Amino acid sequence: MRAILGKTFLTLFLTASLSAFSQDHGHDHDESHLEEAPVVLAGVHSIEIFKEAFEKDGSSLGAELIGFESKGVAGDIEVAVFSTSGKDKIKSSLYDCHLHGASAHCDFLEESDSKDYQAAKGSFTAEEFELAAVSAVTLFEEAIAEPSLIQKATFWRSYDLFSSQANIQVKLEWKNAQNAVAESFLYCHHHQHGDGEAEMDCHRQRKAGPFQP
Amino acid sequence: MHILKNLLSFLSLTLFVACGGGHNPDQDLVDGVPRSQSVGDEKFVTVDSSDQLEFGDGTLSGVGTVRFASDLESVASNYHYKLIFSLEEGTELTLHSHANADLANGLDIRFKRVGASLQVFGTASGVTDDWTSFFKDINATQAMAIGIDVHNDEPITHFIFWDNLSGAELLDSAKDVAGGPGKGYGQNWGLSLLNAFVNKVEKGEPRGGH
Repeated sequence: MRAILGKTFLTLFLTASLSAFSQDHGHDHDESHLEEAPVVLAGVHSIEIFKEAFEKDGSSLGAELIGFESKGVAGDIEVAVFSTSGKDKIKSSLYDCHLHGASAHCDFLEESDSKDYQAAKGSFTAEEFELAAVSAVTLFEEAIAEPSLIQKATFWRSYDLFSSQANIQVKLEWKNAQNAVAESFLYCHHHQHGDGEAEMDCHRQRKAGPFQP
Repeated sequence: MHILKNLLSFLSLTLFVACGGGHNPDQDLVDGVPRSQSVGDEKFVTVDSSDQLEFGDGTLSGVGTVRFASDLESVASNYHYKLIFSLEEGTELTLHSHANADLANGLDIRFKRVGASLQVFGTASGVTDDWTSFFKDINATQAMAIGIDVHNDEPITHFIFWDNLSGAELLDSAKDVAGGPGKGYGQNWGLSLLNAFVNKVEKGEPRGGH
């Protein structure tokens, strides 16, 4: 009974937290877009859970967070949250998620072995990954296709030497009108509005950027 | 008196050295170009033979390539360009941005009139994108006023176009297409004319917000 109440509280807490966080940020981010892309929504929820677990001993999640990969598998959604694991190493924390509208229930499954990986400079918070997810799904709907068609979503931290900017790279796999798997690539970066409010602004691009896990 | 003369000489020498030791070579170029060699307020130098270019009254027409005397602040920079121009059938105008002094290795935006339609192409690093479909509402039989943002300080250089006659945004390559063809690697900008007529060209701060 306590376990059920605890999990329900965690689910509701995550839902409320995401909603409150978005409303605090001046510009109107239409979170309903994330509901239309369950795979992306599950990824965002999983990062929140990962952050909760990481910080339960008082640590603060920072540059350790690299990103996530989320995909639909036989009615469920499996999410791998990527994080650094020592110098030049990366690991995956795996979650199994079920969605109900804007709320999600994700169970931790296991942690993968570490493998070699050169992380990009900079860092993005869990909240910034959520902002990027909202902007990416909004752009996908405006310019490409229905978000519900997204079957797999990968978000990861990257860095561009030309502009000396960190950014979040996005790769979306989706079913097109011919029922074939299509790929769309985006990158998201900080954009400062004239009124001082910042957001993650996403752009389309031809191919995936560097540092993909 | 002798001491005063020496002091005056010393001060004169100091002033001469001080004034001659610092100068802005970019401003020197702008200042050195005659006013007659300009399109609107933008002075230019010719890149190739200027025999077939006509200028002198603030407009530019004919065949040839010009590089504007006031260059771009840096390679990784963003600018807004305003073009007012006319094309006869089959003629072309190319805007070069973020290019080297020969206007190569940069971003080329080419406008070509075919009938009443305007064809538009973006080229960088040997890759050309065809953006013509986004300009289908432009009447190329009359003078055109196009606004162009070039954002070259981002991971993927992107372009935003406006029809300044109607005010409509025509294309944002970061949204409407998969980015752009590539990046520019210089600090120069200019125009290549193939029997085009340019009434005005301006360069300024970017107009688009992202």
